[in-house]
Amino acid sequence: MFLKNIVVEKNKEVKSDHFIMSFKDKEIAEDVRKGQFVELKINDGLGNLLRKPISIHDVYENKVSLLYKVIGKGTKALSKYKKGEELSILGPLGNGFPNIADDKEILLVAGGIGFAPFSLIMREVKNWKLFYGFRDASEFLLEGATSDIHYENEQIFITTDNGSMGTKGFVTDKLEEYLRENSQNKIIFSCGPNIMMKKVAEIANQYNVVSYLSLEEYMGCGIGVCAGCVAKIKNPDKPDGWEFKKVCKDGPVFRGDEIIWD
Amino acid sequence: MGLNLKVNLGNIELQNPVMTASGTFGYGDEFEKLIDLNALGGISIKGTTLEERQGNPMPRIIETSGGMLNAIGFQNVGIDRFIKEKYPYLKKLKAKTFVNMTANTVEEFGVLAKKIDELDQIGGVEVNISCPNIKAGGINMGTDSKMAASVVREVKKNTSHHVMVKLTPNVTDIKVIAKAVEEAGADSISLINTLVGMAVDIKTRKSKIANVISGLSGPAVKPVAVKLIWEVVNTVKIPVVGIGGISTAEDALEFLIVGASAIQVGTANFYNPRATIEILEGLKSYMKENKINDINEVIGTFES
Ligand SMILES: Cc1cc2nc3c(=O)[nH]c(=O)nc-3n(C[C@H](O)[C@H](O)[C@H](O)COP(=O)(O)OP(=O)(O)OC[C@H]3O[C@@H](n4cnc5c(N)ncnc54)[C@H](O)[C@@H]3O)c2cc1C
Ligand SMILES: Cc1cc2nc3c(=O)[nH]c(=O)nc-3n(C[C@H](O)[C@H](O)[C@H](O)COP(=O)(O)O)c2cc1C
Repeated sequence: MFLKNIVVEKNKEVKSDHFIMSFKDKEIAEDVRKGQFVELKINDGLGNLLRKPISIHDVYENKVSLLYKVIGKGTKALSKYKKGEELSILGPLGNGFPNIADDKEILLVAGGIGFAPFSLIMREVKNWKLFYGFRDASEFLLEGATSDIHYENEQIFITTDNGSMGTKGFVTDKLEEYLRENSQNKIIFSCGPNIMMKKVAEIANQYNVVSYLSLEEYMGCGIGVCAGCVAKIKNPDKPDGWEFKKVCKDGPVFRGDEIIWD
Repeated sequence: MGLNLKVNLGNIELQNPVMTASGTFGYGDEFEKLIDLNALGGISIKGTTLEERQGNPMPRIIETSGGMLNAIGFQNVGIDRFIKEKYPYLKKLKAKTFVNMTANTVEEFGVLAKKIDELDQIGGVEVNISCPNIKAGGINMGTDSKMAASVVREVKKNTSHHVMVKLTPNVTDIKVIAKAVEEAGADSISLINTLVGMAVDIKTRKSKIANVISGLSGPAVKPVAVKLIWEVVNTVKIPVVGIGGISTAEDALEFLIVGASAIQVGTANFYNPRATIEILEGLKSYMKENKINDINEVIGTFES
């Protein structure tokens, strides 16, 4: 974990409201594990007080990149940063996704901007399939954001809400179709809206596949001191059979069968 | 000549006046990779209860203009696990540990104090009295001078450690509460705890925080805190520790000038994990620039 100022090298809109920011940093690049995130202190003079969590999208040589969607005041201000400007960064944080033996196929299930942490996995791991759902073709981030990663078309299953690309419908339906054919030697990594991931956990359970889900919560500190971002996780040693774990420190990645959804 | 940053809180000495505030610094170790913990004056740990607590449902925090609201609900490991798992690390530090604690009955405060009394290497206890008394219809003990005093007496009875009493700002007259806890035997007073607040999601028309009522902290509360500390300093003889929105040395100096003997940094630790160290450096620069050798020459020099 580092706390430092990085110099923005690139901050570019790749799809409407979706930006890629990159910077060079050897220490962070070498320290990163798949699925970890950083906390950015965005200064706009307008009271973006707390740091904002953003996943590490990709690392290539010493270049670290972040892929983010503008949804509010913090991400809006982030999109205004120019090349050469400094930004305080804390990270890499969290536990990330586990390392998986090569003989297992990793099924990456992404919803919208939840695609962000998967580039690094697609770059480093060979045996993967991507199930990728989003609203409209204009939000397809695989081209533009991650264009230099090599993959075969058969590795990718796309769904959109309006049918403008891939199949119209839910990405979880595609996942289920795939597992119905063959659920042997598979493992699921997922990131996206909670309703999608809840469904992913159900499907994983139904087909007896282990799943790892990256949860998103509003965060205060990013290092586990404020207890602002917690998730209900099974723990038979606790009186109620569960405990609140810190998404930033104990997560953001948890096993799907250990999460209790309220 | 070397600068003196040592300050006294009654019977205890801090190597400098910069402490961390409860609930914003965990148990210290979380910051070990980010700052030199041995450089701090003191560390107040996450509010500890008798039993381990899971806290409130989510969402628990939300950013506001210049601050944040929180309703964590005292998620903590409980006093026994604190003593076993966290204290061994803290006791080795030069920064003095203050065991912040809270309870829902006067008796429970006593039980906690007794357990803490056995720890020989702490600076003291910090008693967070702003919590509902479940034996008295849920009235907040920090807002009732009689109840506040009985908590302090119970804690004093059960420990010989320094007893710092943390006050809530959510009262009509802070002077009354301050006086009551001083008379009950408090060794020092710290304030402010968070200001109660609320935030509404205009789309759903529901509260942005599951608990509905939450506590405001951060830069937005600082002027309120300075004023309350000034009032308390003018009311009691025991030392006062200033808390509320401190994020820079300039902020800290305001509190020292109105009479705080030390300060605690809270929310600033979240957005600037190095805030405490930067404040310390800033205090030293201020002293050099103003040819002040002893930080105690700054404390209580407010010109009214
Ligand atoms: C571990 C982690 C990794 C993340 N990685 C990425 C990433 O790679 N790319 C990316 O674009 N985003 C990512 N996010 C989400 C990102 O942190 C939020 O979009 C950002 O903090 C929003 O800040 P803002 O100031 O723009 O929005 P605000 O102005 O604060 O909020 C705008 C709206 O969004 C809601 N909102 C804001 N934050 C959250 C949240 N965390 N959960 C639910 N609702 C929220 C608010 O309630 C409000 O309605 C990640 C979040 C986490 C926890
Ligand atoms: C997330 C959070 C958790 C807190 N938890 C506690 C606590 O457990 N006990 C306590 O006495 N104060 C607690 N506080 C209050 C702080 O210690 C401090 O009094 C208050 O936040 C004002 O200072 P600040 O503006 O510098 O944060 C908490 C504050 C925050 C923001």
